[in-house]
Amino acid sequence: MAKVIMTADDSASVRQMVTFTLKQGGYEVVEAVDGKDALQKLAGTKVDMLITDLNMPNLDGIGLIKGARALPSCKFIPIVMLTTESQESKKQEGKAAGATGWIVKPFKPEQLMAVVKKVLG
Amino acid sequence: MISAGKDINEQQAELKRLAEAWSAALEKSVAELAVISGTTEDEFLAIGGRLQDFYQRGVGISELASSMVGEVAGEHVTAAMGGLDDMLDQMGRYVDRAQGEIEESAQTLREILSLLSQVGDPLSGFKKVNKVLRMLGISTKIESARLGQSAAGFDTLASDVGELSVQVNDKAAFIIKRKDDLARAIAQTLSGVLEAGAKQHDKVLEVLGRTRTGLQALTEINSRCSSSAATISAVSDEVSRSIGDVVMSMQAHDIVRQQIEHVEESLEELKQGLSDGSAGADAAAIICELQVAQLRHASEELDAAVRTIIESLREVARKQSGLSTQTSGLAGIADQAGGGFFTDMERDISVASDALMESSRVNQGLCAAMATVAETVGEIATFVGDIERIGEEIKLIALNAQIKSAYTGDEGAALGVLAEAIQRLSIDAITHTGAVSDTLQGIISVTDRLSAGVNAEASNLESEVQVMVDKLSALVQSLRRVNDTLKHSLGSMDDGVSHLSTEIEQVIAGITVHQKVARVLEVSIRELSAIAADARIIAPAGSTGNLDQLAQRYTMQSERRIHESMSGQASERRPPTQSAPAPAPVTDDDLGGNVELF
Repeated sequence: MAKVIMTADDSASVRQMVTFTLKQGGYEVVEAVDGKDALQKLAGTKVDMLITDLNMPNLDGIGLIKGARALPSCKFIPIVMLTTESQESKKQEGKAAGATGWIVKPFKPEQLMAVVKKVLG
Repeated sequence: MISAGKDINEQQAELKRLAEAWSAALEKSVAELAVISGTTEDEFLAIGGRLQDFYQRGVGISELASSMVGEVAGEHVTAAMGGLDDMLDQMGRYVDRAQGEIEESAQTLREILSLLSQVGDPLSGFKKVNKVLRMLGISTKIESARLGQSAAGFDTLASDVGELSVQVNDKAAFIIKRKDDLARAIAQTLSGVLEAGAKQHDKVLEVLGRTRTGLQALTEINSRCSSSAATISAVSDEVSRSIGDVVMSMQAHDIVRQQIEHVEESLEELKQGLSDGSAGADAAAIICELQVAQLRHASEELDAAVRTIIESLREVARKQSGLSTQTSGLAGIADQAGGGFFTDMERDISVASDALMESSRVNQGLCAAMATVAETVGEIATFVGDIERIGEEIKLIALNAQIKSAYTGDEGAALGVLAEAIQRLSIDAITHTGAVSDTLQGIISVTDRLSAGVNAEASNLESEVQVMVDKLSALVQSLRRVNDTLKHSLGSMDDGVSHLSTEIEQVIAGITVHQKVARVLEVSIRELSAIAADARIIAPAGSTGNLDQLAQRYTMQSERRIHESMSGQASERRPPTQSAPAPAPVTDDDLGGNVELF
C-alpha cells in the first residue's frame, strides 16, 4: 500500500509540483492550503510524512509542526520544511519545533524524492 | 523636478509636494503589483496540469519504444534468425548437391550419346547383309531355275531368304530411326538439364547471397536492439531531466510572487512614511532603488524560468520525436508503405521457395527423360532380338541349303556355294546384332543406374524441398507477425509523438505570463526609478538611510543579496540581478546544497 504524504503550502503551483513529483514516485498525496487546513486534515487522516511551507496564512509552518507533533499520529513522522527561507535562525527554529529536515525552494524532483526516500526509510 | 540651489524651506516644501506625487505613484504601483502577483498563478497551474499528462504520455512512448526494441530483439526474431541460419545451411548443401547431380547426369547422358553413336556401325552392317542376302536370293532363284527339278525347294528357300532380308532391313531401319530420335532427345535433355541447372544454380546463389545479407542486417539490428535499451533509457532520463527542469522552474511563480509581495509591502511602508513624514527623500531614493533592483530581479527570474519551461517542454517533444525516429530505425522499418527490411526478406524467401520448387521440378524432368531413354532402349533391344532371331533362321536355312546342295551332287555345287555365302551372312548378321546388343546393354546399364539415382534423389530432394518450403513459410509468417506488430506499434508511437508535440506547442503558444508580468513590472520600475531620481537630487547618492526594517521581511537569499548589494552591507557584492544558484546535483550521499536533514 502506497505511503501517504501531506503537502502544506499556500501556493497552489508549488502544491501541484510537489504532488506531481510524489505521485510519480508512487506516493499518495494529501494537499493542505495552509497550516490550519493541514492540522485539520492531519486530525482525520493518517499520513506517513509531512512536507510544509514556512510562510503561510492562518497558521505558518512552525505552528503547523508544533501542532502536528502534539498529535499522537504525527509524533514520530518525518516533517520536512519546503520553503524559500534559507536563514539559519529560521532553520534552527524549525528544528526546535520538530522538523526533520529543510529544503530551500526551488527543489528538483529527484532531490525531493531522495529526501523522501531517505526519511521514510 | 527639484531645482538645485534652493534653501531648506523651499526644499521641504517641494519635498512635501513631491511626496504627494510619489505617494500617488507608489499607490498605483502597489495596486498593479498586487494584481499581477495575485492573478498569474492560474497560467502556471494550467501548465502544471498538462505536465502530468505530458509526462505520462512520454512514459508511454518510451515504454512503447522499449517494447518495439524488445520485440525485434525478442523470441520471434531470434527464432526467425535461427531458422534463416539453418535455411542458409540447407540451401548451401542443396546447391552443392544439385550442382553435382547435374554434372553427373550430364556426364551420363553424354556417355549414352557416345554409346548410341557406337550402334551406328553395326546397324549399317545390316544394310550390307540385306543387300547381299537379296542378291544371293536372286542368284539362288536363277540357279534353281537352271537346275530345274533337281533343285526343287531352292526356289522356296530363296523366297524365305528374301523375305527375311526384308525383315532385317525394316527392323534395322526402325532401330536406326529410334536411335536417332533417342540421340536427339538426349541432346535436348542434356541441353535442358544443363540450362535449367545453371539457371536454378544462379538463382539459388543469388537468393543465398541476398538472404545472407538480410540475415547479416537482421543480426546487426538484433545487436543494435540489444544495446538500445540503454539508449531508450538515456532518452527517458533526458526527458525526466527536462520535466524536472519544468518542475523546478514552475516554482519560480511562488518565489517571484513572494518577492513582489515584499516589494509591495516596502512600497506601502514608504508611502506611509512619506505621508506621516517619517520617510524623507533619502529613504524614498534608496527604497525605490532597492525595489527597482528587486523587481528587475523578479522579472528576470520569472522570464528565465518561463523560458526554461518553454524550452524544456520543447525538449520533451524533441526527445520523444527523436526516440520515435530512432526506434523506427532500430526496428528496421523504413516506412508504412511496406518497403522495409521485413518486406524485402519476405520477398527473398518467396524467391528462394520458388527456386527450390523449380529445382525439384528439374529433377522430376530428368527422371522422366531417363524413363524415356530406358523405354526407347528397351524397344530397340526388342528389334535387335528380332534381327538376331532372323539371323538364326537364315543360318538354319543356309544349313538346310548346304545339305540339299550336297544331295543334288555336282550340279548343285553352285547352290552349295550360295548356301555357304548365305550362312556366312547369317553369322555376320548375328555378329552385328551381338555388337548392337552389347552396346544397348551398356546403354541400359547406364540408363538404369542414372534413372535409379535420379529417382532416389528426386524423391529425397522433393521431400527436402518441401521441408524447407514449410520452414520458410513458417518463418515468413513469423516475420510477418513481427512486422505487423512493429508497424502497429510504430503507428501508435508516431501518432502519440505527433499529438504530444502538437499539444506541447499549443501549451507553449499560450504561455504569456512572463510577458504580462514583465510589462507590469517595467511600468512600476519606471515609476520607482523616476521617484528615486527625483529623491536623489534632494538626497544625493551615498545616503542609504535605515534599511534594517526592510531586510526583516526577506525570506529568500536572493532578496538579501540584492539588499546587501544596494545598502553596501555586503562584504562581497554580487550583481543585484543575478539569479540564485540552482540546487546542486543529487548524489547518493549528498542531497544537494539546498537540503539539510536534522
